[in-house]
Amino acid sequence: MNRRNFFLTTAAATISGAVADLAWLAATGQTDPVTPAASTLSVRLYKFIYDRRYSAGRAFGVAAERARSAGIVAIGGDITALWARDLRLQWSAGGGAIAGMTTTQTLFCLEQLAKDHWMRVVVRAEHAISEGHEIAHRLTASAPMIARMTSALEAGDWPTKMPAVLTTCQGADGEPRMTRVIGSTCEKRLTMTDEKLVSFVIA
Amino acid sequence: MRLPVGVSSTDFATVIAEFEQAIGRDWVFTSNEDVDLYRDAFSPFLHEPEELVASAAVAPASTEEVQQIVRIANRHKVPLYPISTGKNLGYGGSAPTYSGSVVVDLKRMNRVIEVNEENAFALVEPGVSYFDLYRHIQERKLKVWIDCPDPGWGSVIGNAMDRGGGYTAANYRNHFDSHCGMEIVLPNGELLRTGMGAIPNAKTWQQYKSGCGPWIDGMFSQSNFGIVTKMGFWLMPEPEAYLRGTVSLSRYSDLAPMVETLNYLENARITAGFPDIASPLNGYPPIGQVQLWNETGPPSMTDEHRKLLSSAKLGYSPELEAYGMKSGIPYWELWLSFHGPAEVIEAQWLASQRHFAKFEGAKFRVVDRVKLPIDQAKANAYHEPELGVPSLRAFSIGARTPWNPTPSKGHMWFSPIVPRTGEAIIEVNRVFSEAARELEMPLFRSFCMPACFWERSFIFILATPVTEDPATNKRYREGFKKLIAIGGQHGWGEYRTAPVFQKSVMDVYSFNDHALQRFNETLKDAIDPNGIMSPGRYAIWPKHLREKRS
Repeated sequence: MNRRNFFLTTAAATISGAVADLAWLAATGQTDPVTPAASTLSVRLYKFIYDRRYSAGRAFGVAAERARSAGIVAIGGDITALWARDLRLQWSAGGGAIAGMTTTQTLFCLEQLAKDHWMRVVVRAEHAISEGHEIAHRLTASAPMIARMTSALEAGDWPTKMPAVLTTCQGADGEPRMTRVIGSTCEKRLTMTDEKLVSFVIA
Repeated sequence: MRLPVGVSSTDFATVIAEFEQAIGRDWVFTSNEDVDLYRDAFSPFLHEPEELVASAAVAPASTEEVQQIVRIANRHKVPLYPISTGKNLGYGGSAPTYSGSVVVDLKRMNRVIEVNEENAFALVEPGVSYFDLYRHIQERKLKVWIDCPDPGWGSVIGNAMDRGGGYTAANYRNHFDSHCGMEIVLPNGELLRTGMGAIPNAKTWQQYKSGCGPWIDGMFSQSNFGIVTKMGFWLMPEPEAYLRGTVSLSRYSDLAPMVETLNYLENARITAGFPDIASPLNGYPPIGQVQLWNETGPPSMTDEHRKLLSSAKLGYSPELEAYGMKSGIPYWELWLSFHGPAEVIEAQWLASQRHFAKFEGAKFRVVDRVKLPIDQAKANAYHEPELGVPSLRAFSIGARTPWNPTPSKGHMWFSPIVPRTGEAIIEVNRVFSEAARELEMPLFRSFCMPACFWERSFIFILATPVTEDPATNKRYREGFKKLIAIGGQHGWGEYRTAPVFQKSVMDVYSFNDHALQRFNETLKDAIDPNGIMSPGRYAIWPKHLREKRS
């Protein structure tokens, strides 16, 4: 089996836990009719990872827990234990796409470790929170994925929408990736210490 | 598909096909998406066309497969660039020295071949990381320690080959020095074993370093004469206990005699653990506390202290010294650590205190007394590498904190080796702070202290940031080269550097009209006449590229 396809499997088999939030996407008319939220070939997510030190991270974690589409790990910045006792074993065995909302430093570390298993960051959404309610999201992903993330990020409680959206990622061998910057606001002001968190999928 | 310079797409397709036949299609990477994984995450050429990039990558699983790859490349004159795990960020990462080279990724060669508990040594392949070796030892409950850098995600062999350092006892911290025996695939595909390994069925390959005749191991580190496929290392027998204490001194003038005393204690092996020199009065932490400072912030500082610091010259003013004495903030704080039986290390600590008692007002404090062994989770309460435990905690710093307001996109390490004297510490601060100011480089934030990874010398490790702005990066690169030259004028040289600076660094090693450079080139021409192995690594270019590069 091709290494890069190992993590991909049919949506029906993998994303049942995310149905509730995907239903939210559909109900608010925010799914892309051309590129359905849950495609026929989505990444099989092994773990959601969030940084419990940040309010956006915690909101992401709560939503990820609700989605129940993958295991969930809260970190306080240090991923040594997560790596040594979990991801290393999973990735060495040949699988284990992960998604999350962490600091850029943590993602950098995970990205470097993922490279050792020929995995890569396939979705990257950097959330730059400024003094007010304005947020700039720098999205790097396939066009359909950007469209789905854009819809989710328009919501005031966008951190809670991200787990479901990330579940729809189609993996490393999908369409060409591009970068787009979008602006949004948040209904509940996130603290400046949340700058700059990043949502991601590694597959 | 990218191509090596001077190789046609047709010829390269032939080479790739031969690679695939040798090691299997799954382990030959040619798509940009795959090859991009080998870009240097901290490239000083971020967003610039000069970034050093590979044309393809291959990941052999055995020495035999490495030999096949090398023979194919040699036949077709295609440049190779071996990496073990490619984690030497700040020194080049996994990107080749010569753009268009094929990366030979050795991370699939990840066997711990032997760990000998009785005589405390290991034999490993290049893909074995510090985490792998640590886990191997822990799972088997072997009574030996590794010595690892921080973070500990890199390759044991790779770090040693790049002459990295760690944090335990003096005779293990220098990772190249603690190796014993190598297996190397030469550029013609031939297999060579060094030291006692040159004897068929050798019984002491990992137990006696030099064998007989010329000891050639050093030739293969920071060079391009072969691919190391096995390497032995001496390990530290698991100590029974660990003690860490501090010596606090209150006068600026204490620095030089403090270093002299430390040197005596270490050279006499009264202390052998990682010595860590801080300057609390200058707001400079010990290396072992940097992580804590990153996570929770540095100790609070009064406005008066901050004001005095800003007006101090080379970390000194009489007013600052007086403030330190009045406030009980040491000028210098030396952290000493000891590994061994409790009664032995208590005696060593006592003897160390006796040697420092000559300093007026010296204060001593025991920071940690740890009964060993300690597991990975409990080691988290300490600077883990000092207890032989690998960690990734260096990345736990937040996205942005008041004490780290602008996290960079990476960094280039500027790391000169300087004499182990107090005078040298001050001189280095003077020379490089002046240079950094003139070059407008953010190299010095305050009075800097050196690290004591190795015996008998200091190393300063100073980060130059990589930014998102190519013009700024260009200015920093040029400035970095000037710093290297300025260091050379003072008799100081880098111990290791990223590919973009390797020529500048090696130009400093110019005794007798660059005799060392010429010798290296003579070796290169003899060992690798087609110049396929890491062309340009540490400025050793093969003949056909030499003139262009000079």
